[in-house]
Amino acid sequence: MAELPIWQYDTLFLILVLLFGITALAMQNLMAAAIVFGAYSFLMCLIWTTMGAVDVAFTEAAVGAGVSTVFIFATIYNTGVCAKPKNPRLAFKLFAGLICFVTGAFLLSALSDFPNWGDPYSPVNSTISPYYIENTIRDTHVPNIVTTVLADYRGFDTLLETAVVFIACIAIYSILRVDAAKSKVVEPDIVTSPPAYDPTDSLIIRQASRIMVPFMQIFALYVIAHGHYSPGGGFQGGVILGASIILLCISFDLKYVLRQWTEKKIMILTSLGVLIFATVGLACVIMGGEYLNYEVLDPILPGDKAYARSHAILLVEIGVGITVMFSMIGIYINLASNGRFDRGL
Amino acid sequence: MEEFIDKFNYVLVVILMMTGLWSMLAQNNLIKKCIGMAIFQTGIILFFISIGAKNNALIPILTETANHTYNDPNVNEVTNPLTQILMLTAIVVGVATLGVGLALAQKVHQQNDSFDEDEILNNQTK
Amino acid sequence: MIEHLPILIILGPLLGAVFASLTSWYRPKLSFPVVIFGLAISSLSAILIVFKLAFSELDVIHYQLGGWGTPEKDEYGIVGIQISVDYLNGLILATVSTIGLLTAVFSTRSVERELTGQQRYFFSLFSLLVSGLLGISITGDIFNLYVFMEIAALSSYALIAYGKGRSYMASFNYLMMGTMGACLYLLGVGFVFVKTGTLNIENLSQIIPQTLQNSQAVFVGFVLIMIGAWAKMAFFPLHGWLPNAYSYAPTASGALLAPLATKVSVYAMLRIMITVYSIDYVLKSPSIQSTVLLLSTISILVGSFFSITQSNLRKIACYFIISEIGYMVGGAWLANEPGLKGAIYHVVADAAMTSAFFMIIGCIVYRTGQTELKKLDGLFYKMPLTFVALIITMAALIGVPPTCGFFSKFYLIQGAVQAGTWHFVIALLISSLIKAIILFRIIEIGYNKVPNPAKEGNKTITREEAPLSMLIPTLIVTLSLILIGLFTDKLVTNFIAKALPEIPSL
Repeated sequence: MAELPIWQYDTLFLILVLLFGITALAMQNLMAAAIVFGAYSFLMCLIWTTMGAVDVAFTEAAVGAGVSTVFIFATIYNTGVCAKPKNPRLAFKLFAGLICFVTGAFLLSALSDFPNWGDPYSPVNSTISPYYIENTIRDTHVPNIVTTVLADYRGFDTLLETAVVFIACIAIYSILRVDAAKSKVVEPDIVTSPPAYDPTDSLIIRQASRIMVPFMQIFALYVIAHGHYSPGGGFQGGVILGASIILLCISFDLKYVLRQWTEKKIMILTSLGVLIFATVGLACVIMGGEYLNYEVLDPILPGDKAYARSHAILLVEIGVGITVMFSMIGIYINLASNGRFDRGL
Repeated sequence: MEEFIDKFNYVLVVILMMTGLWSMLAQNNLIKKCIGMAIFQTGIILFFISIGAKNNALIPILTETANHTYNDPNVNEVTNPLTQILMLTAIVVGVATLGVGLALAQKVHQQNDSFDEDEILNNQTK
Repeated sequence: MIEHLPILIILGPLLGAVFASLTSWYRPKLSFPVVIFGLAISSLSAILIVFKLAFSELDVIHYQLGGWGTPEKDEYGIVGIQISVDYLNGLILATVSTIGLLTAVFSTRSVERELTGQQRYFFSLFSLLVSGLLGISITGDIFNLYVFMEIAALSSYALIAYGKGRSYMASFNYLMMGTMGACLYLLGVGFVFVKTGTLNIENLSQIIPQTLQNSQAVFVGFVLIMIGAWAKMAFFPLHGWLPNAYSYAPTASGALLAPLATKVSVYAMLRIMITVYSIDYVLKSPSIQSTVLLLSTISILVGSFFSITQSNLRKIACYFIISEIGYMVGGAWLANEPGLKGAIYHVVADAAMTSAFFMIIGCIVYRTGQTELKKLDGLFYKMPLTFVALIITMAALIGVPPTCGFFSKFYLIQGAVQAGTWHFVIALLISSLIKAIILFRIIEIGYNKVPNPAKEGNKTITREEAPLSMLIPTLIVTLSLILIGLFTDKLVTNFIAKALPEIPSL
């Protein structure tokens, strides 16, 4: 059997990823560590693309390489960039290393029991996943199997995942948010943090992002709406939408964005997305089916039963998109302004 | 030995995971712990995606090709979608946890003016 | 509507939380009733479903989300996510949702006082935590369990961080340990998934015990899942996060987290052990079994010895949790009938005991503002009902009949004797002894030291209980300790005995 040399590429990328990961952890400068971590996530996307996991790669590009890095930056902006190597705790580190070595060896002890890398007849690939591949068109008319499984077959997971994002947003809000009027403003230390932008000298950045933002948003809407046919969906689109607003926060300032999107709006829309998803599910119960059984919605949605599922998936993805978008904005603003909602990265 | 070469990638994945785990356990710096956590999580995601990969398979979006139609797809030519969905969820959970971790780290830094675990402990026992 | 009860158990608090977070921006006063409504729906559904189970011929009630997973619709029957209620988790569901509801009622006043001006999302997070815990208990899918685990975990990090000050670091440590536990669990799921290709618990329970007994990957998965669950429940070497996290949290968060979060992780462990892998599988690796039993013994002893060195009632309560975790893990790993009965019974009993203990602490904090033991002198004369409740709870923790603590200990000791694990028996007895010492210290301080009213400038001792919204839930839970004890027989024959798997005779 003529095998494509794709696994060799994988190995190469994997070694690179490993190096990047170790570098990120070894860096003394936290800002540099965050950048290397972003590069690490980006290489990870490439690996996943070579393995055919395009949706995962897309999400990782938006979430891991995109907003995660921005979140780390926002935190460092409020604190300072240097990790001081004071107490090496060598004995403890060696002990932890030993634990990890033993754990790793234990994990590898199962290696001979594993199916071969890329074996299409392994239990994982031959038990239930063929069902999804064979029946997605019949059940939902959606060719992107990932979207179908995400929003329909395992829709409950996705509802909870949306809830997780929502929880993260309100958790961070309740941890960090302080009343700007009441707390004394601690200006970030200019020496350890990057210089605050002088609004006059970032003309190019501001104009460039002003031009970019509408295109980003159109692309994000396309990603959500076209998730049935191409990689993408609510999560990826939501993150890109959120990122477009975050870009405005970075290139202008928080106040500029908060004029449009007040705190109240952001936080309410965050919960609204979960509500849309949950309501679609409840509508199914009211129409006489199980929770999230979109099939029974076919009297109120156009088309036959399979199309009812397809349309309901779109509704659900919109809910996911809304929650993810505003959660990302909410999390970013809280982290960047240290909960004061006044100024930030 | 041949088997080892066959599954060499799993070895790398495990090393990656253990790097992250070690960082979570042993690093002093709270931000580094958070990054280590993210690396551990991506390692696990990589593991899941690897077990769902298939040789010579296409992405899990159905298209009309020669030996492969909408209504009768060739299962062995489409990558396993299930592991991918599970890991989409895991990525999103990961970023949510990272965000909460960073928020807590920021609050800790605000109180102690340090990300160093030992320094914080010293401050608190004082 | 009756067939939708299983999903209502989770949706009640989940939607309650979403609505509460919406209303908090318009009518902040409405958030609390909305959350109570959601929790009440959940509690009612859980109790109804337990009765439905008890009075029907069914062993288990399934609910197929999205309508998938029925053999008519897909030939595999496992395509979708399934949630199910059987004798094992029915009890846990009823306990968790009821304690959640009572704690919500209990915590209004203390939240108003402790978190003035920043309680916007408190009850949303509270409700989400309950829904996460209920989800862990009800789900029939091991990956779905992971997602629920994270829902519960993320909301508990925030709930602990409400305590300000040192609670941030405590919460951060909990986050690291919790995420490590969840990640190891997920990795374990991966190792199981590699060999089975399915995530449905029922399906796994048919595959693993029959065909994959000797698979190393499945074994590694088992160990990883166990370690993940242990990290979440603060079992001995992984217990470091718990005392700080629970004692620096606001009293309301502590009162919800302490009784429920760890117990639900114990349930998750039991579910994986007895349903997914079967007791046979556990018995096949005696070296691991004896190691775990030894760790449980150490866990009990460490928890007990640290509790006696503490001077703060909340810290004492936290170390009690660690020792009680040892009871449950040990009981489960004895892997014989009385041991498992004791472990399952103790999950319910200990949830009630810990809940009562933390509620009493909440009442004391509300009136006196602190929980240092030596400053509680004359508590009996100031808050008589609370003090009596404290005595009853301590008696239950020691294991005085007829409280529920006695019966769980009875089963556990019986199981340990049957298995010949004498160190576990001795640890149980020492733990009771230490708790008795602490009880006498409390009586000594609270009853024998009559406070001198003249010193404070008053004529008489002011008798002031906590407000009724706190006192009534506390007393209900305390009474339930005796009630559970009195109805032990019914509980065991109707539920726990039926929840047990087939145990191979040695």
